[in-house]
Amino acid sequence: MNKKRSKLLIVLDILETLMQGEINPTRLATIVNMPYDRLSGLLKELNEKGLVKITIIGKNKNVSITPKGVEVYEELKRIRELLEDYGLI
Amino acid sequence: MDIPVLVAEFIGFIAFLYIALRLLHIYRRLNTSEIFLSTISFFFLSISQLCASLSIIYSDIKASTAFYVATATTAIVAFSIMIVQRYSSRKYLYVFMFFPTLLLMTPDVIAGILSTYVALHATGYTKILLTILSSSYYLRAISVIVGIELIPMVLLIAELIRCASAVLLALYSSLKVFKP
Repeated sequence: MNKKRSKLLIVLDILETLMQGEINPTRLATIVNMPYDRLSGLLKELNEKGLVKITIIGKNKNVSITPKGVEVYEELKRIRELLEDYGLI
Repeated sequence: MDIPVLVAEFIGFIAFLYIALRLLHIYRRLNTSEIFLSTISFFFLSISQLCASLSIIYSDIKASTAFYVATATTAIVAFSIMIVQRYSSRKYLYVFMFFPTLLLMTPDVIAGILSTYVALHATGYTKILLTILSSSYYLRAISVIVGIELIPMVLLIAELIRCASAVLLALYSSLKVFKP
């Protein structure tokens, strides 16, 4: 059975990708395997929470992780392991 | 005998509470439903441990009995939420149609069934410890139907198993989210 990916795992995938460095949102959408419009909404939410930074220079738009985002990423990795142990995600 | 058990129960309470607080911390930053449900689950597991501690501390038989029963009922809430979380986004919600039938049974049996169910989907040491914890609830339930002379012995064994497995589970799980 195909299990719907939870928001927690999607956020973790996004932050994990951003840990490699700044990236274009279109490329990010491909890597984390989700529609661009849905990713845009999520990135806006993460930007408002201070976990990612969206920079626009001319026609180029890039996303990067903030120090707060790195902190949340490290915490989410531990939480994912715990929730996987209990079969919750 | 009471003091080591009390200490172990209290360690379990602190460890589960620590996990709940770490989850709450991340929930406040991300607002995801799965973390919210997990926070509540671990919070109720900590309350279950606290009730077990209070059932030892209180010498009054009524208060002690109330806390003893609350140990299982709060565990029921915790494991129910874990199961709801597991299936809330899927097509298995019919499982919960059986809950009214389960509610006719004793809290210990329900706690046993629900924790067994959670254990079935768990992995590694968590699976082993959850299985041992659920067996202790069945033993508590059996203590109600055994002969009067056997009740203290069965209850003692059940409580020792429950206490040991709960504290080990709490410590093992809290190490997963421990932040130095």
